[in-house]
Amino acid sequence: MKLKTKDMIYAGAFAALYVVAVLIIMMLVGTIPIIYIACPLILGVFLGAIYLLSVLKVRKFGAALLMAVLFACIATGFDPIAFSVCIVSALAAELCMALGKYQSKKMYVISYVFFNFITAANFFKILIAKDAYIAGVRAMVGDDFADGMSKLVTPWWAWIMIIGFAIVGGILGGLLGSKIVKKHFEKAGIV
Amino acid sequence: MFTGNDNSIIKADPRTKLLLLIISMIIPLKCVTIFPSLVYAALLCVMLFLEGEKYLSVISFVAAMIIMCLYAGAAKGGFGSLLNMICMSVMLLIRFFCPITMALMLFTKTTDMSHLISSFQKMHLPMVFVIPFVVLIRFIPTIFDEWDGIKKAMLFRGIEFKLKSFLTKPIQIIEYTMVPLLFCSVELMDELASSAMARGLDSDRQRSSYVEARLGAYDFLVILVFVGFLAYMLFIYQ
Repeated sequence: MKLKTKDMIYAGAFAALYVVAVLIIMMLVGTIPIIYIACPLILGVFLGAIYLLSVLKVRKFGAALLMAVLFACIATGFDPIAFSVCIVSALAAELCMALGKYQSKKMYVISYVFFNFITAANFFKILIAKDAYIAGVRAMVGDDFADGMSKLVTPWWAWIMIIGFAIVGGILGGLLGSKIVKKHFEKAGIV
Repeated sequence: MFTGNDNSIIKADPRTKLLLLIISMIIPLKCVTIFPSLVYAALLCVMLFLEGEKYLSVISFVAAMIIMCLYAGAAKGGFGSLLNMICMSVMLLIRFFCPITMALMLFTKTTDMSHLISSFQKMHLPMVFVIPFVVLIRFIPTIFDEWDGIKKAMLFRGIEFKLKSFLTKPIQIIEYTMVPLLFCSVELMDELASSAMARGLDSDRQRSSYVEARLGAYDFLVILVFVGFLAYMLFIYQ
């Protein structure tokens, strides 16, 4: 089952929708910097409907992967760590959908939990390349700022918090998204 | 966006502009002092001017100057309190995105779609990447238009897209904004797909194009200047 031109257009357009939704939500959330760290959760809950509609519309290998690659091209700035996080999580999502033979609803919802890790990709970049990030901040801004920042990203619970937010956001968003798709789009015959 | 303009003095190839975009993503990581960043901003503004966006080039250069000077002033102060830290991180973000935004403007305002597709084909990128990418960048402004309409329609029904309603009734916000947005964009996608079929985008033959992308002497000059600048920066701030 290869992707046809029509499927590619759907993938590109849904990726555009995804990117725009991320931008809109980030602009809203960015007014309070404290909840910025919870953005895998917030984005996950909001964007579940877009992801589920796109994969349910195409139902072939490649829809989620294309979306993740396009998102990574725009949102991660070609950083190798963040880019590979995006691709690995999208491949895991594709594997989930393939295990459900592109029919099982449950597997689509589960695949979104993996796919939602792409919203946390930029946090993973900071957490993995911690020393380089702090050195960059130190050179650019100053020692005090860098020390404050290193207190924020060093502890182990930073990892658990980011991963937990991503997983919870994925589960909530998947359930909510499948409900929305069932209520509105299946009746209209779009999926 | 992606319509091109006619009053350009010199037209660069889309591939050159893509290279400039990638260089602009690396430069803010490497240039830590103010002066080289300003020089880079000036180079980008000269490119914008030559490509025909005259007012935009002047405005963006003045904006870059103001941002850099404010940043330099703020960096002289201390970073003691939490409020200072937050202000500083916002400033850092703005300064970081300044060259990227300018390169993006150069890329989006002065390139037209057929040029872009033909230069992507010259780069021998697979069609499975080219078509979604082109659709993506064409679709983003359309969605922003739709979003404005939906926001106004929601206001009539008493649902404001603000942080307060976002926290008090999140599920309603999701349902009442996402569903109309998805519905109208699915409709647009169907139209776009049929128009692409009509243009023969899904045939297996080699595609031909009215405009041909070609790298000229001007492109090589621009590439030389920008890559030279990047190499010099990498050499200084090792």
